[in-house]
Amino acid sequence: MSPRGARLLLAGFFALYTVALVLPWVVGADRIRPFVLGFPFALFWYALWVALAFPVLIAADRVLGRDGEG
Amino acid sequence: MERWHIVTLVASGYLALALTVGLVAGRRATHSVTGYVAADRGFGLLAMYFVTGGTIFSAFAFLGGPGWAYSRGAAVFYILGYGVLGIAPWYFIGPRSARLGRRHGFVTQAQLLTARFPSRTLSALMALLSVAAFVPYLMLQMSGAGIVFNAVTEGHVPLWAGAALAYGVVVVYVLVGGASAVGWTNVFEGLVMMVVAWGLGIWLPYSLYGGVGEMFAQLEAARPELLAPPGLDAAGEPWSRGAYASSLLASAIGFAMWPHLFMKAFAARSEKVLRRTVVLFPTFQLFLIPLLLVGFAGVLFPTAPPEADFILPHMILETGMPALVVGLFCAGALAASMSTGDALLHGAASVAIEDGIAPFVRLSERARRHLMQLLVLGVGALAFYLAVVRRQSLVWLLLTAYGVVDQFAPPIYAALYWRRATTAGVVSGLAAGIVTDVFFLRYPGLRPWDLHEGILGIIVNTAVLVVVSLLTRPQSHAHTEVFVNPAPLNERTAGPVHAGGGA
Repeated sequence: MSPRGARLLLAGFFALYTVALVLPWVVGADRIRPFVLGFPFALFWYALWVALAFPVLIAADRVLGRDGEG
Repeated sequence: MERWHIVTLVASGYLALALTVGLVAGRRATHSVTGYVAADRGFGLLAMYFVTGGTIFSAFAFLGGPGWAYSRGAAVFYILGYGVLGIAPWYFIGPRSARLGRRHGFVTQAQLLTARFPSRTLSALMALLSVAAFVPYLMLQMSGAGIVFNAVTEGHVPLWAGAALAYGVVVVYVLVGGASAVGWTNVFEGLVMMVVAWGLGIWLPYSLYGGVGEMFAQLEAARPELLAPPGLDAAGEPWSRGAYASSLLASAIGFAMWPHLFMKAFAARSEKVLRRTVVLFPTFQLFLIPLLLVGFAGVLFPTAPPEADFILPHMILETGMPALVVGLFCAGALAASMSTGDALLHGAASVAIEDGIAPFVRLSERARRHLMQLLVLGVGALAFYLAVVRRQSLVWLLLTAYGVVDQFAPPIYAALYWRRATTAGVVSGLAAGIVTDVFFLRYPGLRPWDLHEGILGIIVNTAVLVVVSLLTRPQSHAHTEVFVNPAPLNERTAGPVHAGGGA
C-alpha cells in the first residue's frame, strides 16, 4: 500500500464510521434484534466499529509511520 | 472493624501509592518551564498511552457513563462512538504539532496558534477560554471523587471531604512534580482503572442475571425503549435524533482540541510515539463497554440510587461485595477522576501563565514556574468551591466544556492546513463561535433541530474565519510554509518564530 492508499483507507473508513455511528437510523442499525454476542444489535454495532478501527489504524500506520521521523 | 473502615483504608492506601509514584517521578524532571510543562519532552510509548487514555477517561467514564446507561439507555452509545472518531485526526495533527513544538519551543496550544497568527488578543482569548473549559471539567472530576467516597463509605465521608482528600493528593504531586508526575501517576492510575472496570462489568451481569444476553433479554421485555438509539433525554422522554447525532459530533470534534492534549504532544519523545498512541486508542475505548453493562444491570435492580450518577457505587454496595472489592473500585474510580483532574489542573495553570500573562509581562523562568504552582492552588480551590457548592449533573458539565473546546477546532485546522487563513479571520471567527456557543447554552430552546451548541458555534466560527480571512491580506508564503509543510526534524533550518506572542 502506498502512503496515498493508506490516507485513502483512513479517510474512507472514518467517513463510513461517521455515517454508521452518527446517524445509525439511516443505515438501519437502531434496532434491538438480532442479539449478537449477547448484545442488542445497536450496542454490538457501536462496539464493532470501534473494534474495526484498530486493525485499520494498524494497517495505515505500517505505511504512514515510516516517513518523517516516526 | 466495620465495612466502610476497610473500604476507606484500601482507598487511602491507593492515594498514598499515587502520591509516592508522583513524587518519585517528579524528582527526575529538570526545574525549567519545559521540564514542568512538557516533562523535558521525554514521554515514551507506555507513559504516552496511559497519559492519553487516562487523561481522557475520567470520572465521567466511571460514573456518568453507567449513570447514562441506567437512566437514558442507548443515549449512552454516543459516548462509545465518539472517542475513536475524535482521536483519528490526532494521528496527523499530533505529530505535526509535536514537530513544530520541538522546533520552536512551544509548550502550549496557544503558542502554536499565535506563532502562525501573531496576536496577543488571540493568546489572551485562548488562555481565558482554555481555563473556562477546564473549570467545569475539573468540577466534574472533583464531584466524581466526592461521589465515590460518599457512596462507598455509606455516607460517612461527606462529598466535600472525599473530594478534598483526593485532590489534596493531586495538588501536592502536580505542584512538586509537574508533567512528569502527571505522566507516571497516570500509568499507575490507568492500570488500576482498567482492571477494575473489566472485572466489575463482566462479573455483575453474570451474578445478577446469569449472563449479558440474559440481562438484555429481560431488559428488552421490560424497557425496550432503553436499547435502541437515540435513547431517552434527561426527563425520560425519547431523545431527539438531532441532539444525539450532534452531541456525538461535538464531542468528537472537541476531543482532539483539548489544550492539555497538545501539551502532552509537546511532552512526547517522538512522533512515532504519538502515532502509536492513536493506533492503540480503540483498545482503551472498548473498556467503556463493561462500564455501560454495569449501568444496564442497574435498570431492573430492585433498589434505586439517589442520583443516576451514583449507580455504579450503588450496585457494588447493594450486591454485597466484599469490602476489599469495594475499596478497589473506589481506587479505580478515583484513579479515573485524578488522572484527568491532575492534567486539567496542571494544564489550566500552565496555559493561564504562558498564554495569559507571559505575553504581556516580562517574567523570568523561575517566576513563571512559581506562578504556575500558585495558580494550581488557585484553580483547584475555585473548582473545588464550585463543585461542592453548585452541584451539576456530570453530563451537563462535560457537554458544556466540549462546547467551548470545539471552538478551537477551526483555528487549529486553519493554522496547520490552510495557507490563506489570516490572524484577523481566526480571531474574529473564534470570538463569533464562542458568542454563538454561549448564546445557545443560555437559550437552549432556540437551537435549530435541537443541535448541540458547540456544533452551532463551529458553523458560525468557520464561516466568519473563512470570510474575514479572504477579505484580509494573505500571510507570506515563507511564513505559512513553516506550519503547512513542516520539514522533518533532522533538518535544523528554521529559527524560532515564536517570540512570546508577538505584535
